[in-house]
Amino acid sequence: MTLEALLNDQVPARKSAQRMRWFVEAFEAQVAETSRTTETIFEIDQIALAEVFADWIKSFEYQKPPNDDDNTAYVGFAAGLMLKSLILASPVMVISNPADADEAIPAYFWPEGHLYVQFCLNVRALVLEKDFNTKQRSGEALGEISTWWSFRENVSEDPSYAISFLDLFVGQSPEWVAPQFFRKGQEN
Amino acid sequence: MQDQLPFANNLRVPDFRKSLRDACRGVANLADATEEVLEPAAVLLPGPIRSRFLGALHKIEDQGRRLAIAPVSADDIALASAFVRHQNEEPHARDACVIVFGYAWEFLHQSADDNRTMISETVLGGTLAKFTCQTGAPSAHAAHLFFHIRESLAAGRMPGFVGSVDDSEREKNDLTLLAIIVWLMSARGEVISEEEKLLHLSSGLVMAMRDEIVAALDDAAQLAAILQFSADHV
Repeated sequence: MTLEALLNDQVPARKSAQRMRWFVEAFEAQVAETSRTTETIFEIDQIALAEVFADWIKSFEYQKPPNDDDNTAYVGFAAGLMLKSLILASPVMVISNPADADEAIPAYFWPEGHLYVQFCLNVRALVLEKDFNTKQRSGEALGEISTWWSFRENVSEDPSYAISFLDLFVGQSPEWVAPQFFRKGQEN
Repeated sequence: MQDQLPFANNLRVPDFRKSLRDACRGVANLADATEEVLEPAAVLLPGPIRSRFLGALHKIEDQGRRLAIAPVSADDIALASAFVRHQNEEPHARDACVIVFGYAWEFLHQSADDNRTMISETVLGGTLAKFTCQTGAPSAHAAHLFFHIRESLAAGRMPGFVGSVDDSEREKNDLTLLAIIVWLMSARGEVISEEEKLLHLSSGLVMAMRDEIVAALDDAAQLAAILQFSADHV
C-alpha cells in the first residue's frame, strides 16, 4: 500500500502526518514496501515507534513557524526532524538480509537508516505534492555510498545531522551549523 | 389490593451487571495475586502438584477476565467521549463512561499481559455520580476528571490485597487512566477494531510522554494542556 492511499481526502496530508494513527500505519506500509523491494526483513518495536512519534511531534510543534509563508520550507525541516527522531529511537531491527546483499548499496550498507530515509523522503514528497503542489527534487548523494558512510558516522555522533543529510539527499544545500533549528526563509 | 410495589415509580433498580463484572474482576485478580504471593512457597511443592495448582489458578483467572469485559458499542464510546469532554453530563453518558473505562482498562492490561490491577465499575460509577466540574473547557474537564478518579481508588489493586504496591505501579495506573482519557478525547474511529487500535496508540503516546505527564501530575492546567496536545495527535 502506498502512503498516498492512506490519506483521507478530507484531511490535508500535513495534518494526517501529525496524527499518530496515520504515522504508524504509514511507517508499517513503508517497512512492508522496503521489505518487498530489498528482501530485507525488519521487526518493528512499537514502543520505540511511539517514542519516535512523541519526540517528533513535540519538536515539530515547538518550532512551527507562525508565518504561513514558511510552511513549505518547514515541510522539509520537519521531515529532517522526523529522520532525527527515527535514528535516535531506532524502532526497527533487521531480522535478515538476502544472501547476496551487496553492502556497497545503501539499502544493504545500512538497512535501517535506508528505511528511515526512504520513509521521511516519501512523507516529505507526499506533503509537498498534495498540499503545496511542489515536486520533491532528488539529489545524487542519495545513491552515493561515500555519503552514506559519512551520514552514518555523523548521525551516530550527533543525530541532528540527520536534518542536514536529508537536505543533501534531495539536492539542497545543507545547514551544518546547528541544523536542529529552523531558519526563516530556509530553502524547501 | 395493590398490584404494584409501593414507591414503584421511584424505584431505581441497581445495575447488578456492573457489580457482577466487578466480582469477576475480583476473582481474576485474587487468583493472580494468590499466585504472586505464594510464588516463593510454590517451588516447595512437588512438580505435578505445583503444575495442577497453578493450572487451576490460571483457569479461574482466565474465566474471571473473560466474564469481566462488557461488550461496548461505538455509541457507548461516543457517549463516554462526550462525558469526558464535558459535552454530555446526562446519567446515560456517565454510565457509558463507566462501562467504557472498565472495558479499556481490561483491554490495555490484557494486551500487556499485566493482570495485577483492576478497575471497579461500581466504585467508578459512584465516583462519577459525585463529580462536578465548573470549567467548560474539554481538556480542563478531562484533567479534573482524572484527579477525581485517581482520588477515588476505583483503579488499582483489589481491596484487601496483602502485597505491597510501589510507586512505579501507582504511576502505571495513572498513565493507564490518562491513556483512556486521551483516547476518549481524540477523534473517533469508525469501527470497534479501529477504536481498539486508537486506544493502543493513545497508550503508546502517553507512555512515550511519561516524563512530561508525571511532572504535570500536581498541576491541573499543565496536565490539561498535555492531554489536549496528546489527543490532537493520536
